[in-house]
Amino acid sequence: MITLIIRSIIVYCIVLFAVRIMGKRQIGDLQPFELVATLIIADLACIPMSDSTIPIAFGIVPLLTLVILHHLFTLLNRKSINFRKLINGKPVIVIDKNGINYSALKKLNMTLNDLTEGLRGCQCFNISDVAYAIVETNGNISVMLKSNIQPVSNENLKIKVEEESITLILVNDGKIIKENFCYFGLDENFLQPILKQENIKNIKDVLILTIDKQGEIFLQEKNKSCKTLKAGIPK
Amino acid sequence: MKRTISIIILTIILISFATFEELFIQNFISTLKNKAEQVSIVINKNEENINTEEVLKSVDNLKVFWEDSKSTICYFTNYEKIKSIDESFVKLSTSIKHNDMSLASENIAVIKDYSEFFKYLMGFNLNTLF
Repeated sequence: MITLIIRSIIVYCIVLFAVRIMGKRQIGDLQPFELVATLIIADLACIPMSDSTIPIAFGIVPLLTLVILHHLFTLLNRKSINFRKLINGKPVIVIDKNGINYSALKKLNMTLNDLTEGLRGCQCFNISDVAYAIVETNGNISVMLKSNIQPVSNENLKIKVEEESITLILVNDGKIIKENFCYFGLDENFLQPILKQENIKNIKDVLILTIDKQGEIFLQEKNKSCKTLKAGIPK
Repeated sequence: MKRTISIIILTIILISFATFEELFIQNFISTLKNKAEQVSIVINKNEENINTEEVLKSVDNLKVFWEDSKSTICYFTNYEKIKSIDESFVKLSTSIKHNDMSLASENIAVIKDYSEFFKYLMGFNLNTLF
């Protein structure tokens, strides 16, 4: 039993390392060769975990070989357009100004139901609203709506808006996230007056504290309601 | 960059492991075959009475070699597949004690056969590749 436990720990760590080294793509965004690697890795990991007569190398060696192969494929995928086309295929336009491209759908082994389902997934419930629909290499459908249906943007209305800014978490579940302070040129002393003002004695009582470029702070103490504050931050 | 370095290290580790395995297996198989052949010759030489010092010594020599190599072999192959050779070693020792020539010859033949079988079971082999 101890063997199986130790093997499981080793295999888990190696699979974690393998997935980590393979990149950060979401499951839904996997390219065909990434999906293949993921499927095989899951199966390979199970073999030596459950049977102690099989050497652990039988799981680890193929797994690491796949990692190397995957890295090689990723490298070639990045460097060569032809290789990319060969392995991943290319995006296919399934709806254009002439309507649905039925032959393209057939080539993709897609039914009209698959297409309409994909369109609904893009919040497009009426095919006549679609100017272009493209099936991407990872199977996702990208939709471009007709100009008269597209949502109005600030630019269309000629409205000037403030520059967008990222909101960073400064305190997460009582822990200070040091690296986020540097992003806006702040230091940890920045929190002291805010905590004092809100009568918070210990940083551990803070559930979350975020800040954006305009100095807007979102603060919530543990088991209390949230507050929004304003603070000056250096430009 | 870090990822590339990890991949290079992994590649080196895998190549080293594969090379070590290949060398070890080749060496192991040829030694096992030679030692089994020697035992076979000694048994045939002492056909009248195989329970002699010479036969026991050569069988012990083969057995010690097998026991020493077994733990390393288990890193490369499924233990279930090499389990039967262990039984042949036990039967060989017993048959020598009981001076059973036919059983001893049979078991040494099995061990020799295994040294051939290991070629296909372990290490690189085109037959098992496809």
